[in-house]
Amino acid sequence: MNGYLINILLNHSIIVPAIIGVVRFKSVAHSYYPFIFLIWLGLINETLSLILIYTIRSNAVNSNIYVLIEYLIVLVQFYKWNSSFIRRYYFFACLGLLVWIADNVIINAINGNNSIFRIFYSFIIVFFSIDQINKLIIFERKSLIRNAIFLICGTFFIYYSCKAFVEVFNAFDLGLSNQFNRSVFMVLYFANVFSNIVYSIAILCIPTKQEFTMPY
Amino acid sequence: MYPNETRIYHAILTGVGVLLIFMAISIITIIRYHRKKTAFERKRMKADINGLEKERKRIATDLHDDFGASLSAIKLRLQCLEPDNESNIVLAQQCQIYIDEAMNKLRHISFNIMPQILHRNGLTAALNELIDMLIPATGVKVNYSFEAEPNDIEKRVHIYRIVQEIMNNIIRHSKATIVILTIKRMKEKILLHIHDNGIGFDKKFLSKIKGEGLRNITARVELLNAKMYLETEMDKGVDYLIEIPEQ
Repeated sequence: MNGYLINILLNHSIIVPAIIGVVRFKSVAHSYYPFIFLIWLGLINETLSLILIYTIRSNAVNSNIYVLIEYLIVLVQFYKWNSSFIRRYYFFACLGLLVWIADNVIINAINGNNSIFRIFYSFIIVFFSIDQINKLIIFERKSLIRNAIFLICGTFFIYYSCKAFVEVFNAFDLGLSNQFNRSVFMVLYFANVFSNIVYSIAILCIPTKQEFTMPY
Repeated sequence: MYPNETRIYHAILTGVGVLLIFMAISIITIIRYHRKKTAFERKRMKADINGLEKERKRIATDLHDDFGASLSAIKLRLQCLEPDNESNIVLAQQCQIYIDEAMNKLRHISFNIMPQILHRNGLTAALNELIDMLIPATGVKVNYSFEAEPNDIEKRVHIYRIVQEIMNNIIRHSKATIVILTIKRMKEKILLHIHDNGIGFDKKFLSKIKGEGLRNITARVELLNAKMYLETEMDKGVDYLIEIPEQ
């Protein structure tokens, strides 16, 4: 099996949480819908990328658009979990849009492998994930290990930290060989597989109805 | 890859690996300490609530047995008065009426603090009595059916208190005219369902609610290892569903 095929398989590991999402969609609490949409969107994007790589030899355009939608959906998901502070989410959504335009229209072209927005949104998602995890530590009364929000945020924290780290190599043109860059991106592929495994468990842990709790 | 690049790549992999190990350790310690904290909070809550229930039981018993007995004795002594003076008889009869009122109030207070019937005859009897007391006083119509009775006395007390607290909330705040209250058994669970047709509330403002009612309910729900679902919207009433495991 060559390296390229391994990459395709690793990236398509998202099919597992996507199928679990389809099976459980009608029974899970509505507040988790953005996350399931995000998983389905990820699968669509991976498939589209594969088709475009075989046809026009580049998946840059769809990937650049995908990261913006991904960022906005993640923000909606965080808003669903914390229905207060709506202005905070509007602010970060507008800020993200501005950074995306700057990265893909002003500084670079949309058909390039642009990293500024990817680094930016990884930081924001890691920031929100840490905030959410801390909130759970303080207020959650039941076990965290089967808590879907904790699993999702913990995985966001790990995956987007790796993503920000890897994208830095792309953002600064270090003059390193293509093979080196590909190898660095392998870190992200494995992080992706790990994330998809945890996402599958998280979808299985999503409650059917949102339980009512009060903070201590 | 050039040899230099290979070395850099290995250094990066080692760095990422170390960071991932740190992250994993952080997450594991978070889960461990959270579990410890939850267990500690639960223990504390259980001690608080059990202490409170014990104290309530003691006060209720004292009120019923000591104070109630004293009032009965006074009433008996009044009945023994010689009818030599007409005005004294009227006075004694008035005193007896006041004593009857005081005894009724005492029974009421004692029932609210800790209904003896809950320990003697069980949850269904105690809830029937609670509703019988509430309906004439408030005018709220309560449609109820009780088809399950937990064996454990502690569970009975918690369920009784939850119903009492929810009914108090409904009477005080909801402006409801109809309440549906059911307790039934389903797949090794006891389902407690209470629905009112009152004004409801916006869950977003839950953190601003100052009363201790909901907090007490959730604390008892937690001690029962139960799950509570609360559905409400403005002008659409409140729907409480509590799933209590039997074991």
